[in-house]
Amino acid sequence: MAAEAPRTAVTLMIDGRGITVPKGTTVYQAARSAGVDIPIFCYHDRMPPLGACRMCLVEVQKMSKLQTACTLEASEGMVVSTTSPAVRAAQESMLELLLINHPLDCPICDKGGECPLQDQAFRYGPGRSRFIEAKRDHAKPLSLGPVLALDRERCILCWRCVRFGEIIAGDDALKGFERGFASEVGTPRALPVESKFIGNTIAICPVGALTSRTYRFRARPWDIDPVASTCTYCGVGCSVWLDVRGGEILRTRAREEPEVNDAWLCDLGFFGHGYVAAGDRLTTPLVRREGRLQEASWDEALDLVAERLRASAERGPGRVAFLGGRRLSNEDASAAAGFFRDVVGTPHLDHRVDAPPDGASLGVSWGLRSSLEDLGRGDVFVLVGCDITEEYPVLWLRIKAAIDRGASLVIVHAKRLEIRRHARRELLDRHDRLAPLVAALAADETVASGERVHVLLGRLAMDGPDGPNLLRSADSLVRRVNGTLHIARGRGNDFGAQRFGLLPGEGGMAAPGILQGAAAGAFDLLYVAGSDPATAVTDGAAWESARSGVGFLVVHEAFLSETAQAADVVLPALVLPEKDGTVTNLEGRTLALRAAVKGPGQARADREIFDLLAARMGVVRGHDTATRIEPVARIEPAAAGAGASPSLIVVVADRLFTQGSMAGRCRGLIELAGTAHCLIHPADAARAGVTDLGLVEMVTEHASVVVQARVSDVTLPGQVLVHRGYDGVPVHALARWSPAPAGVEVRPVAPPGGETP
Amino acid sequence: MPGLLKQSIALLRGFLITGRYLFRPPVTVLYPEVKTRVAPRFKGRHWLTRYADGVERCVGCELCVIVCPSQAIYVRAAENTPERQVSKGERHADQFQINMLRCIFCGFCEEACPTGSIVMGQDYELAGYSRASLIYTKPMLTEPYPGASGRDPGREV
Amino acid sequence: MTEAAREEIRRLAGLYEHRQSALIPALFVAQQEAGYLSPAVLESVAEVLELPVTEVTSVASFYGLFYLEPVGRHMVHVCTNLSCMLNGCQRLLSRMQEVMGIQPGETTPDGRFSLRAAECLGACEEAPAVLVDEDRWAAVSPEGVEPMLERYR
Repeated sequence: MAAEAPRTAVTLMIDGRGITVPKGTTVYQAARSAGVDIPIFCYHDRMPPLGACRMCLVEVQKMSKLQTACTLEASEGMVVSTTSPAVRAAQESMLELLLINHPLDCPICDKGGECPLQDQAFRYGPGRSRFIEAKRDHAKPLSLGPVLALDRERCILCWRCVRFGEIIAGDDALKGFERGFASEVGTPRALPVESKFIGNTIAICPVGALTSRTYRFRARPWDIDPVASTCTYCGVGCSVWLDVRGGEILRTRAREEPEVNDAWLCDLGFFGHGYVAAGDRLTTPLVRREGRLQEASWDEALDLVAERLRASAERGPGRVAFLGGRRLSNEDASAAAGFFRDVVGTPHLDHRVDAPPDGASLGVSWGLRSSLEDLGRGDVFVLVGCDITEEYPVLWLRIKAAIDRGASLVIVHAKRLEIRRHARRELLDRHDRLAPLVAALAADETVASGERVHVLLGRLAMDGPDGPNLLRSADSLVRRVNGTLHIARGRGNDFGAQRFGLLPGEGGMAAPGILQGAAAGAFDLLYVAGSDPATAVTDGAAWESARSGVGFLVVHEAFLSETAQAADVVLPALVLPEKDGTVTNLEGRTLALRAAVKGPGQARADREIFDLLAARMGVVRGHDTATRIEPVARIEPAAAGAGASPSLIVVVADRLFTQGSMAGRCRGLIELAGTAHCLIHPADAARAGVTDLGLVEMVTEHASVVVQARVSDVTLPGQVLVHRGYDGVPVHALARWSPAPAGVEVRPVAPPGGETP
Repeated sequence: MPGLLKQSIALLRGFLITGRYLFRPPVTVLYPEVKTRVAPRFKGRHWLTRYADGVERCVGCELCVIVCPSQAIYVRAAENTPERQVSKGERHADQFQINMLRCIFCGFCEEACPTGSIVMGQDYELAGYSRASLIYTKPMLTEPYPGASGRDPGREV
Repeated sequence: MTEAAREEIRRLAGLYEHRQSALIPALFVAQQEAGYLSPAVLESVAEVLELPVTEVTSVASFYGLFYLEPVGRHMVHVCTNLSCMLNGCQRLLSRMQEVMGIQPGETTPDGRFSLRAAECLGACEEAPAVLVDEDRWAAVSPEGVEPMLERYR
């Protein structure tokens, strides 16, 4: 190694200082590593250099013209000046030229105060312009969807946003149009931008051309206190800055964390903070009196819960069950597990509220089996029933980067994923016929030739009609190719709940068992925290009967969710951005949460509520009892679903932008989620007489829902895809827990009042 | 005794000065019955001025907020709509408050203002009976009509 | 877009290692058939080539010979670059405008001609040059405009 070092390093002089860097380093990077500042606009260190903006010009001895430092590779003996008169003159000229058409509306512009163009015009600019001609004039701002505003006058055509879509996200969301003087970035005909990562383009835009519509004119950088915290939506656990002004989170930004999210976030993270300040947060405990939930004091509510818990204990052990954990911090989860195991004395705890009894989800521990970084080093990725951009968007960015380095992507799914362009193989079949595809993969040369194969098994596969079979096939596949099987299951802090013991104890029941037991009268009291089982349980009827079978329901909630509405006691809880603590991401990493704002009214942290209850039960608890319980990692074969398959089946799929209790209260996300809809294949649509964008009634054996139909070949013949997560559209009522696929009939609904032209 | 003589002369000289001013008109005025005129560039209470057509000059850029050495200014901006065009451009100040108890009347805000909106007027009678009454809000600060602050509403920035 | 055009685009895509390489020829195929590249046509090209519609639209908007708006049956380009300008293209263009009754960038009401002022057509030695559809006309005089246009119905 030591002998090789001289050959792989070069030494150059920058502004009279000798700098030694590895071969292949650009002059810009070399300068930056030595603390020499070279102004840039188009260069971004996560993307290859482009040399479009000409701001980084430097003078190099023996080179006749000024060179762009961002594209010039450092070589031995190079003598570079970043401050010579020629460079200074070039920098002044570049800024003068960039400002020919840039409107000087900084006082209005949202970028003002944190704008690279503004900063560099001050530092390197000439101070005055010789151009007196009228500037380019465009209508402003152009709205490109619910979250993005484009101001074409301000754009300096650095192409950062365009290249982000091409290189980092792979969604080609924004492009350059026209040519020369008329060049502009945007979308065709200014249509709403189609991307899940567009917030990043706002962050990397070096001017105010791309700005956020939800943050528009809300604050200046000097008004803001940034709080370093963690996003708690999907489970990747991206590091974020929560920008707070006056006790309200106004904006979320990506915080650089190379091992998790690098420098990126998805739009759910960027625009998903509005729910914290929603007006309908619960502020006082509610107790059911005379059939109605009425406001009560904390003492009254806690006394009542403690009394009920004691009464249950007198009737016998294990007559209390706990559900939830996804929206709890590690500390909350640990407190809940300790309280129910040790103080209440019940083994019936489970955070896996959305798992069906006969799928594959209950038999394995959830999460990745390697670190995100290791995953990113893979050379073959197999996504089995895992819609990665809808479920774990930032994880996709890592896979996309690996694909660009030569890795292969193989998709096994019941839907044409939006990332299919990047896939080497795409194996599609109806939802109940996926297992043979996975079994066939072992013979696939792409997979077989992989050295570091990563198989991600998603919720759609595990909880589908063939879940246990798929799990076994995927397991034997990774054994054969010496790969890694990841269980891409769980959201929020499911991983912390799993790690800190919100799983059934000795003799305890899993979530479906708890629900069935509750329906049969096995429990006196059901306790729910950090979850909304009324919408999360995939068999809506199972929840209904559990609720009516249990005598007393206690819920910790931030909003009057469906579960809370059915409760006997509702305790107002803080949400994660209001708490200090930690969460666990899907690779098992512990990440810090910092309280960004205070909670509303009398809302309390879940952990505190459990401690107060424990005190009322005669146990004083400290916070040093967080017992880490290693999750089970076993794979058990289960019987495959048998029987005749219906001609049209319903498939409930995950979507990134939904209208659930959190995202449904965030401006921007509500519009991105749009109306609830189902996807139906053109062949099935023609047979059922369904037209695109028309209303349809989806009728199953158990229930019917009315949604908008989108006729699309994103889905496959023989199945109707419908998304969960839209409150008010009870897709969980459509099917009962069953190993067999659920048949569905789709009928067009005539619009009220007949057709109007 | 030369010492005594010297002291007497000094005393007389002193009385002479007093006597000289005794018959001149006084420089003090009977405030508040009588008020003095202040210098043209006196820095008194602030105004948020308007253009001649009545449109507000302030765009809510918050440069005054960041420049204020006593952190006396609070601004919350909002977007103009076609129905409600408060200022020129896309942005206006929805809330604008100056805490007159904190203000040190240095005039930095006036100097920083890129639209010439905020100006310091001639009014120096800024006492009040409560803290709240001395936090001037936007309706109190905004000129009731163009030019009410005494500045030419047609002036360039 | 007809199946024949789709098939031709698929054939073109097969000639190159990357699908992107076939985009410009594919756009010409589509334009020839549809007359101009409407959003629907661009979407079809994107679908056949499995490219993002944003990229297809971006490329189509870059080149002057792709028409994103409806044009006449015949496209008349009059060169206004240096050599042609020195040889009187302005008089030629004025005559064209007079005969057609339209300004550059417009289409005659009967949909017969669209007129464009073009940059260099690469025929400086025969200035002023005119390009009608794919025919190059050299050293056109204002008097020659009408007979020339007569050839295109």
